[in-house]
Amino acid sequence: MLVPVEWLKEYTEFNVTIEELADRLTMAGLEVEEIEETPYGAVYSTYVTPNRPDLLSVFGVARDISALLGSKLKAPEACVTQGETDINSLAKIEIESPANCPRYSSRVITGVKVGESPAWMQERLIAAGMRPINNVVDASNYVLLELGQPLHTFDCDLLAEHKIIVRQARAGEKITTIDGEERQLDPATLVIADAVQPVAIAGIMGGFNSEVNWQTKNVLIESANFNRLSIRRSARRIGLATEASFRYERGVDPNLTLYALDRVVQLIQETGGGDIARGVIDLYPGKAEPRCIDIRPGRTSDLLGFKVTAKQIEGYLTALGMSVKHKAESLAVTVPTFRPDITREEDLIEEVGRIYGYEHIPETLLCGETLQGKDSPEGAFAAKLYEILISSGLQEVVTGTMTPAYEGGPQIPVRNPLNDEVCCLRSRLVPGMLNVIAHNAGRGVRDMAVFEIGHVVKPSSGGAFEEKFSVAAAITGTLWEETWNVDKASLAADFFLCKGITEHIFQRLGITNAEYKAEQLPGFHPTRAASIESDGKRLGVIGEVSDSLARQMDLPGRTYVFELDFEELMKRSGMRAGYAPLSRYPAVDRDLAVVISGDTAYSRVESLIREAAGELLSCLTLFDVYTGKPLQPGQKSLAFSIIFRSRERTLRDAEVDERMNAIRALLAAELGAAFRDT
Amino acid sequence: MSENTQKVLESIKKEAEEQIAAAASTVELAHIETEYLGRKGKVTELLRKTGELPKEDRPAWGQNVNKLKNMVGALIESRRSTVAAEEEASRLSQESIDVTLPGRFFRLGRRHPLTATIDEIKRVFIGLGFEVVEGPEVEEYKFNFDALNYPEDHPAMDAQMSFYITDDRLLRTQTTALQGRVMEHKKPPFRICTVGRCFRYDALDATHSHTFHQVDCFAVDEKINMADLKGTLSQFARELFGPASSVRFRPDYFPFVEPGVEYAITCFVCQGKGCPLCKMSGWIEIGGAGLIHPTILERFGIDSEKYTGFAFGLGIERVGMLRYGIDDIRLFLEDDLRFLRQF
Repeated sequence: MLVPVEWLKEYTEFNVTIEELADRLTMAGLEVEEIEETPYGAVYSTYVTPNRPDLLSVFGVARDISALLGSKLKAPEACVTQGETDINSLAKIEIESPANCPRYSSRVITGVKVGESPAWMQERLIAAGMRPINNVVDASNYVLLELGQPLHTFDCDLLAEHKIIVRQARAGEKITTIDGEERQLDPATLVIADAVQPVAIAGIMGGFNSEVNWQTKNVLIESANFNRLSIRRSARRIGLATEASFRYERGVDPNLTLYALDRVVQLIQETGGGDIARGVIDLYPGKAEPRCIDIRPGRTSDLLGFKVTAKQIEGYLTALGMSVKHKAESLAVTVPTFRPDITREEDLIEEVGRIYGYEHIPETLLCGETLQGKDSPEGAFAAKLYEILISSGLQEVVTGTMTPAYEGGPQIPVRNPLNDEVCCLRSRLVPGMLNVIAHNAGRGVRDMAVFEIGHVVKPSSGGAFEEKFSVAAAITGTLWEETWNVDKASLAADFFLCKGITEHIFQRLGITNAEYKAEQLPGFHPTRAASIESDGKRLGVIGEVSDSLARQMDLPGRTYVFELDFEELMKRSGMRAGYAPLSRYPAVDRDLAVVISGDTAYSRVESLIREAAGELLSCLTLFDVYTGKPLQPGQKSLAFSIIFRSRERTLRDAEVDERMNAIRALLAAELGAAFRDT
Repeated sequence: MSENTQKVLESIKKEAEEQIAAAASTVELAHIETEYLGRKGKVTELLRKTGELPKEDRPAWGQNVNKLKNMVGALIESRRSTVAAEEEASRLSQESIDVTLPGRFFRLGRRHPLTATIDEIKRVFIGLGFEVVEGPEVEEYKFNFDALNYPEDHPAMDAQMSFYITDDRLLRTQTTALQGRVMEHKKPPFRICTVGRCFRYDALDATHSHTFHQVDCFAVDEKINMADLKGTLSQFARELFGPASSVRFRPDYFPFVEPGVEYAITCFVCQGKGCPLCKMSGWIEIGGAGLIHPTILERFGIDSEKYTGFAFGLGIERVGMLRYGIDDIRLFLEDDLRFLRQF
């Protein structure tokens, strides 16, 4: 809200500078966001928190200032000289929707001369961001700003049968509001109607048909209170936010209507003459009473962390417009209805604290029972994964939870997305990884290795959601920094580097039985993808991105990805137990080149060698895979280095030879293998 | 021994001495060694002649030839060590490299500045006895709003415009939503730290993001008050922003705390003197805090007379932007590797 500083001075005095006052207000909870210099003096631009509707008026701000500075508060005068004519002979008012209209108060003033409002009033309105219209409308806007009570003025002669009915709109009804827009109404919207039609959208904007104009003589003034939810929802439905609706949404004091009404008729009469009808029509079906709340000085000191006396409490609360009575252990505080935010003792304690000043709060650390601080199990496990992945040369990225819809796998849609790019929840991390690669390739980066640990969400049975952590990575190009005199192609990442990283993860986590099974997976190269399993449970997938997806996403080259089930990994990665003792005896090193059919899986060969080698096998390493001459087409050769070692003794050549023969025999028998010299 | 034979020995000796002295490489020396001391070498040949001599001359001859042999051997060895040293020096000098050429290295992985910041913040609060708990990003409306005292359809929610998934589920707008989840099953005393992604219906610009990260801590125990809150936040500020940091409270409103404050820390650029970063105020606002609203404690069956609690939140992006001097929040989710490789 815009608050002209000069206007504040009408209600309270202050001897501090404009900047100092702004600072005091900010530190007491009314943030002065900006001080604007205008032809009418300095104007505060304030941010009012949604719980403090009382600060949406100049007088309300003055009340806080007086409490802060201990200065006197002077309320604006509202002195009405009534005429002879009874208001009831001039207008009739009915409330059909009392739930949405707790109070409707009205006065009528006849024989008004509509003209321009005085310069002082116009200046204040302009300074506060409003446009002067005429003396009648300006007076109502002036009081709105001054006291926070929205007011509306009708040309009484344009109201059919001089009647006001507060009711829900009827289906199909329309109204042209004073901004010239025709608006469709619906029964959820509260309207002010005359005997025939709506003349205003209650609490939001008046109608063109009953507007005060230059010919207007007789004016009916509405000073009403409307239900905040009704106004909020109507304003949103209609798409109109006004000074009035802004205040009603936050809650206007229902006990303010008469005071504001008297204030406004006084101002209208001062500027436009006329005769104020005798009496007020005041329908008040939803009467609000001030609350009575006890506050204990001991409790106040306990919560704020510094000592406050009963006398101080009484002083601050009284200055804020509350009345205070001393009881044995506490103070009984009557809270006026303009402070709907104060509903219990803690709210009063906050008032005491903020007026006294939070800078008085000392600093202490938590005492009490010692509690063991710790990370969540997921956080602790993620920390382990971070360490492994980063030491594997992967850069962490953070991709969006909301993604476009992508192929492969059901996703949960967002009901009200910002746009198509963020319309679904991610069910996997890999698409985000590929996006990062495509995005960076577009900026000239060729070599990338990235990973992410984060939540994914999938639909699960019965319309429920399955949300869990996942971990994924994508690699393209080389893991090496730019270098010289080294053949880059030989450093390029491939499926096996990607697999090597997953093996490293498993090894570090102590998962020893991960199996890679070739599988055709959507989005993957048809013959370069695998699922990873352990004890029959799927740990994840790994493979090369399919050509078509790579083209579609504009990936810079062959790209390899894996995605692993975080929770399955976590379950399996217990504490690593034990180690393999080191042997003191020498190793015997043998090589073996196995020639087999090209479609025999390496894993089969490896397990046969292990089986035949027995417990003396210390280390089995593949060092060459060969196809081509002199091998037959369809054959391949796998060359192994096999190291034997015993923990108890030095091995004899003969027993190693015997093992090697057993290996050859088993491979020949099972796979029809032949053997080459290595 | 005849003078003639003496002369032969002398001339071989002289010849050998000259050749050895002239030898320039270990290879040459090896040749010379063969030439004199090899199986068919000149000195070896002389020794073979011993048998041809009269018996009485043999001992003297043998003695002299052996002397010669030893002498030549010693000369070769001595020369060899000199030449070998020269050769090594020459080889080493030829192996010289330009040490200013760039090194070769594999690219190391790095953490994203956001999660690295999260880890640092977690470390501080774990050290203060807080336990980290996880929660879902797709949250129930009742935990995100109802349990936190948001009045039905209140303007307080205007700052929390949400993405809806179903009628009663949304993408959480604050990790504060975990308060209800924790208090449903935990009895005081407890100190909880929640971390995670939050979402608000905000279009992307330099200072707004529909997706952001938040840390939200809360503690419930007997006698917790505003001073404990301030002390805890100061401790955090000193750990993250330097030992000179202090904390300032300003009243603010959040439905789930009472009293509610906005907390700021001493500007770490100007140490509170005033600079462009803190808009000359000396303070940088970090987040919201306060004492947990007693109705929340009561809602979960906690006696609000006996127990009180505090809660505070902070945006990780904001902390990251401040610490690294980043001026555009979008950089955090863009995953531009040219940006990420700087951390």
